Amino acid sequence: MIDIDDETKTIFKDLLSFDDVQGVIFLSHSGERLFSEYEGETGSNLKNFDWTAFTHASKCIREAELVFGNNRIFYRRTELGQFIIIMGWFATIAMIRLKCNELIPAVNPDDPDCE
Amino acid sequence: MQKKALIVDDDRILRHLVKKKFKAHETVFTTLLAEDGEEAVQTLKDHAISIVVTDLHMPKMDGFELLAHMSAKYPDIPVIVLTAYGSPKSKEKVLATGAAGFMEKPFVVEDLAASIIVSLEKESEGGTLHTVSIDMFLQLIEMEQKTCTIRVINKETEKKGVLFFKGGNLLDARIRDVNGKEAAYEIFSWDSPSLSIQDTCVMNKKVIQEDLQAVLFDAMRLKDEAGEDESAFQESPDEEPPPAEKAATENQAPQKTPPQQTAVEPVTQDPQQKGIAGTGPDAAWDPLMTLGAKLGSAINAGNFKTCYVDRGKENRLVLLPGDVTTVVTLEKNCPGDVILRLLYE
Repeated sequence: MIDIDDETKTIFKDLLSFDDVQGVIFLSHSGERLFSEYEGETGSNLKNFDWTAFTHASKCIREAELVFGNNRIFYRRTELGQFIIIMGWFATIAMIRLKCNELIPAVNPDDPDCE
Repeated sequence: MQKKALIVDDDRILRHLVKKKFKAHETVFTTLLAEDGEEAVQTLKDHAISIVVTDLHMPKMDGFELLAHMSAKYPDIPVIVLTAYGSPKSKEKVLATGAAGFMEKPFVVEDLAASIIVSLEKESEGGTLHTVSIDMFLQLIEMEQKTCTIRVINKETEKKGVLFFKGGNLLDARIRDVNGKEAAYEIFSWDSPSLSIQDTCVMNKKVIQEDLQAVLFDAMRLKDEAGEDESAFQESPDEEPPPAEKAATENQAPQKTPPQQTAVEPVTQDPQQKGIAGTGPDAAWDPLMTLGAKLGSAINAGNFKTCYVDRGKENRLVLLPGDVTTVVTLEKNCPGDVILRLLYE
């Protein structure tokens, strides 16, 4: 199991301070939740979400943006694991992407893990 | 990078004498010459000038007119005025027009050089940063509610720009004679520039009405559209396309064919379809869309509208939910605005 060090956890938490970022989740490549931090109630209903199935379904994806009526979800496959950011409409993905690249080199995009 | 001083005087001998003497300071600044205000205005358009030294009495456009022009268009560029009529009253009048310094003729060229160097040093009194992330740095300026003038140098092109902040607010930006958002967008698109910080800001008017985040975002979007953005969208894995497996939303994992463009229909040259290679149904993406919808439902995100997918080497996709997922395959060079339209409209 990958151990997320305190410094990286702090950076993950810092992402929550960006405008309209509502949740940060980091999953292992097998779908195990290694880190999660939410703003308000966002995370309460995610406790039972099947991250393993989600991991399986997104294994051919390097980066994705899921657009909903009220929110957007940014997904990025990285060397360490999978990075998921829950955002409202005012957060800017270009900025989030830049932040990720600059703050957390370990979460730079990785190639899809497809056989 | 060398700074440029512009000497404006109709006295040809004085101009060339000054330029010759200033050669001793070429490591700090180089010297450009103009014989009157009109020529100076053109030089300011053509070059990134750091300081202007001007006589007051010149044909065509005199020093006062030049000072007024500088005050309106280049308020950040210090001006040292040379005059043969150095009464206290004229000095007062000159400084009231916005000049940063005043020197009486005849003057010692080395004294003028010293004044120029002192003024130029103010450009970086708050420090100089090399190879920084400009957006990160500017957000710090905003957070710290700092008042400053930031001079930005694009190290690739040696182009210079200036940003004006008051209390953390971005008031204006300037590249030569272009200002406002147009200049800001270009400055924000520069990769790893050098920044010099001056701890004062002469601007008071907020020319750029949007806040910094909005301007930064627009700049990034425009950069994306220009195809100059980070390599995340360009890099490719070397492997063949993935065999996507039908994921187990109901604890089943039946094998599916890879999400490919087998069902894709070519699209013609309709401008609305520019950048789109094809579109068609592909059930191989249904598991992802089903799980995406469940994820959205869990966080009360509202209706699942679209999903943008970057697969590395393979064409990027936009997925539309339905009984069977509709896949829009994007061309490699699909413009950013087409993707945004597909995602958000």
